[in-house]
Amino acid sequence: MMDWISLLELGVRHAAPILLIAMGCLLAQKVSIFNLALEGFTLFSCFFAVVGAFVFKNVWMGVLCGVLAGVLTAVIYSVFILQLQVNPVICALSINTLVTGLTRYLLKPIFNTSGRFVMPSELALPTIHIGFLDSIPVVSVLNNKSVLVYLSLLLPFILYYVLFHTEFGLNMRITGLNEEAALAAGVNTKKVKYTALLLNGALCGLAGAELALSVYMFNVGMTNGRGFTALAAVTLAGAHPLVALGTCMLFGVSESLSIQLSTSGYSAYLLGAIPYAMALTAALLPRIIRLVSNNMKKKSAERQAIELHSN
Amino acid sequence: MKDKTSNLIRNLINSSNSIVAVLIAFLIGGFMVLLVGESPINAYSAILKGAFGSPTAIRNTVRFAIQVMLMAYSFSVCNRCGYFNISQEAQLYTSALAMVFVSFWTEGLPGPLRLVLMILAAAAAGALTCLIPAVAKFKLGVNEVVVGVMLNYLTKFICQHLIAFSPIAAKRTSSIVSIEIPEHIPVPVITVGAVLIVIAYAFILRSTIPGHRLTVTGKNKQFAQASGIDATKVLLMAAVTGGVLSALCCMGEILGYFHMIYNEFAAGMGTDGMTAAFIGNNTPIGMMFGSLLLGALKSGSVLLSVLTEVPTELIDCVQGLIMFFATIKFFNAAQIDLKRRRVVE
Amino acid sequence: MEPIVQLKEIVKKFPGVLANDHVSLDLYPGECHALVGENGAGKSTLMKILYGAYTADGGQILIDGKVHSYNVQGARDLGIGMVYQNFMQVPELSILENVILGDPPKKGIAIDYKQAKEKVSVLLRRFGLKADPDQPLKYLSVGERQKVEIIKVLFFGARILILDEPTAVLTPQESEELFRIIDDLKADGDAIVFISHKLREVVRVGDRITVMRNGRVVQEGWMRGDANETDIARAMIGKRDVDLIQNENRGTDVEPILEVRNLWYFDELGIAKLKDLSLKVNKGEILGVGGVEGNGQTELINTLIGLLKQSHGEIIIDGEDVSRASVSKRRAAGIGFISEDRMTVGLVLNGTIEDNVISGNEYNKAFSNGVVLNKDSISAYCEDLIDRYSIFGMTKGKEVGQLSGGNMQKIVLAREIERGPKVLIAAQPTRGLDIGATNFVREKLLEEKEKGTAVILVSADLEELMSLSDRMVIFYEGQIQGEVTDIAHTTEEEIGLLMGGAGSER
Repeated sequence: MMDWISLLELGVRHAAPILLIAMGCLLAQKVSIFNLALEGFTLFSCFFAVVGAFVFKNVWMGVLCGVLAGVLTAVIYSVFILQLQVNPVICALSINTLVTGLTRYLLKPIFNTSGRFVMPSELALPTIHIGFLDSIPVVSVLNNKSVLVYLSLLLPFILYYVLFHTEFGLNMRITGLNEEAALAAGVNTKKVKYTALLLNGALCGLAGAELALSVYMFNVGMTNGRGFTALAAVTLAGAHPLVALGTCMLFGVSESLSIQLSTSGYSAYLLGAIPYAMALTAALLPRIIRLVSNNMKKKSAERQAIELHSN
Repeated sequence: MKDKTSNLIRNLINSSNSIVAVLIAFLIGGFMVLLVGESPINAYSAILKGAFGSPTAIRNTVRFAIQVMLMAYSFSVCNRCGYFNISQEAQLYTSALAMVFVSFWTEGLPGPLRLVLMILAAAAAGALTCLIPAVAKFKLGVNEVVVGVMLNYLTKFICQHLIAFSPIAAKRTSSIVSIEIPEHIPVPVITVGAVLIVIAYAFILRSTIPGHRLTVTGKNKQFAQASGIDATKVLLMAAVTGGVLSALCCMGEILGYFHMIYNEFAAGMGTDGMTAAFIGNNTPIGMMFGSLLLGALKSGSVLLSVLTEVPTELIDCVQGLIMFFATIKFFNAAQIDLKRRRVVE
Repeated sequence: MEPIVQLKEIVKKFPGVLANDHVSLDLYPGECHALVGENGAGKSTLMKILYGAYTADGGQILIDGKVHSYNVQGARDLGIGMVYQNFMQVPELSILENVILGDPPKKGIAIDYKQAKEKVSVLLRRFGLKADPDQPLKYLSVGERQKVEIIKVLFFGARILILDEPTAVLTPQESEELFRIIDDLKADGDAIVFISHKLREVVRVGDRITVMRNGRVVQEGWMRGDANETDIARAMIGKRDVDLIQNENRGTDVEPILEVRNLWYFDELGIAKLKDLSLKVNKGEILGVGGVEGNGQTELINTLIGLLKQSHGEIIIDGEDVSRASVSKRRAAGIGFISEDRMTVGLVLNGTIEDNVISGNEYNKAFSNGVVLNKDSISAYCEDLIDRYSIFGMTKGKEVGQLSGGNMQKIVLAREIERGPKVLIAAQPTRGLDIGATNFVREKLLEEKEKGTAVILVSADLEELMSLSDRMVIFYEGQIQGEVTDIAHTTEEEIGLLMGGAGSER
């Protein structure tokens, strides 16, 4: 039988980068930008987190460099789509392709290696031990994690507060739902969109830093579709930060489960497909139901109006 | 007469966008080569040699070019009417699975019949997969990109599962592949077939009623509808065509080269097609050049690491850069036109 | 009394249009200033300039006697608020969130929801709304949502209120309620701009009435009582004093080609745009459809050609019931269509004349063999059309979007008339055209009449309707307000009254 506690423990660790990316993705989604470049943002950050940590011999400089790399890609992306009016999907896909190639390529001139670069273990992201957590069953799985993991667990709550209790959050939500209404109320929607996208870049930067520095190495393609998993998590959660915490956790645990399964010879692939199947259902099913029910409602209302008239 | 020349100029301006994008990409690529202490000239001549230096090289270039081109056409036919065909990889996976399963289930039937059944199944699978996001977009108003991306991953995992844990899984090998299928199509047939598809595509688009309806609907859906063209039907037909073109690409690869399904064989193929479509500005001829360029880059990369110290990933970077810059309108034909008119006035 | 707002010589240009041509307007506190004019007269543009949503190309804005220039945020800080023609709302969000957007009360970095809720509740009560501020906006009725739009403006403390066609979506009862609110606001000393083209309402609420036409003020500041509905209608419509072709041969057979029976259409908001509408168009007759725009004319056209599906009712062309037929089937049954929007619906601008002429008619034997297009024959056909319809500036391979408006319209006419329709629907066929092109269009419509085609002419240009129609119907709120059979003995003023929802059948 599997060890549930270690499964959960691993799940939290897997969920953390997905959560960070998902929160960034959610911000972009709130201003109605469907960001497909998450994978690129994060991979670029992974690479530069390692570069920063290695060059400055300091893991925190690594985190900073990762965040800067994430913000830089976000700046490029947002200038292209908001200023130059380039199709966001194409722009995102080209960023992903470019970053994948660039990070592989740059391993050679920077580290004189290919495929992966492992740093000395002193440059790993330190974990924090909270004494009293050990004594609580199950919750103890949260112990011995890096500060970024704790931050990722806190972020949904922070975002919830920002979105629903501050003016910036209100502006963001209305910009996404009806930009004209926001403009008519004097909101600078372009500024709102830029801010959301740059925060998205910074959060992907943190995710990249956590991914790379927790294992003190860079591996080509180490994001391994997490950007898209995050996208699925946000879609499934209907872009609600607290629900997204749940879906990211679910996907984190399912990822650790699939690793355990594949080592014991079972098919883990179907488990990998679950996030996407669920997101697909979440995207399509409510629309179908609404379409049918609205149609019926409208028809009956019209029939009533017509009958009223003829009497 | 004067308008004919201005039309020519407009086409030139449009294609010069792509040429500038490609030049910038190669220029930046050149700097990247300098970064690893190699000469850009050496690197690019190695690629050239790898792409065209020997009969094998040319064969490889042609193979990749055909593969990219079919994906480009598949993307472009949908893009013409505003449907972003991002689920191309899903179409490749489902049509590949359809072929292998049909081959597996029809053992005992005569060979040619099996081949026909496989081809039909693949085309149907590709078309259906392409239709899912299209129906979501045009009937339900759901962003087709969300649906497409989710489909890509979903089918990738399902395909992995099936080639690892199902009757079509090859059990003897350590790598994850499907069983080998006995059906083959000789490579020259595929090449000729691809050329025929190109000609047919260009002909249908330019000279037939469906092609005309697609063009008009893509340019102005409201106009098409008011003229009595069933725009939704046209859009869904475009999606079906896109799916079938992806399936054709898959048939070429599997029946001509692989004879089995490799793990994640479709990865990146959609992006390749998209890039070629953008280089070629969605015109049949332009996309041919775009595909040839990408095909040459792919097959040329082999010699890059042999002859120089430059990592083969240079190719990925250059392709990413091309795609990146091809989306910017350096020259805008419509604007230049306006300026010219103003000067005349 | 000092005006609170003075707009002086405001100029605003859009590509190809002079939307505001040296427009001046004064607003006084405690007064409702009604701004009247047809669609496209430049009212909304002027008000968007006052609200800071557009920047004027010339002129000055004085608020309380001082010159200001500002954006939307600046306008709100000055106490200017605008209720747009269409709702600027997010139905999914709560009433509260919709209202406080732009200037939420704050406590630290957080929005002070408690204070906001109290303030909004007071406003809701004042407007007689029983809704809870936290309730999503989408559960309110259209009239209630209109009130929320006004509450939004009052919430941030506006003292200059711009209401752009606020009654367009309201029932008469709801409108009356709105007028009482306006009276209330006036009593508080607020200045109100009320935009409308419903004449009855304008006379009801306007303390001062200004009429605009073609980007210019044609009637400055009538005071209450200075003008009645007829005067306003005359000023709105204006007179053309050039020689335009007239229908010299009025009167028709009584052989209906098109019959519409009990047609109903509801829009997405569930508002009835066509109410139990019935009409007949006879052979060789031009039926003029008049009325202020937005009273169901567009919906009638679109249900007739099949772009919209009617909720109820029948459409019969020459004995054939096409109520459920597709656009192409109806075209085959004999409908021809000249769209009011030739730039998007009437033509494909980035296509050639060939693209425009054959679309939807590709299966015609002259154009194809059923699959492959016969390009030579199509080109020859188009050459012939260019010649016969004197389409200037059209050369091979040129996109029709590069032609002048008149020549574009000639392509539309050529394409629709050459098909030999039994019913020709012409919507605003001369809008934006010069005299020459206008006469060309008129001539073609009369030619169709002589050929026996049933023509439906929908136009906002009353002069055009009266000089071309054999018979007229005036639309008001989705119904036929009146029918005019003896056009020669009817005045524009009488029709103007029908357009405003007053008057009776003649």
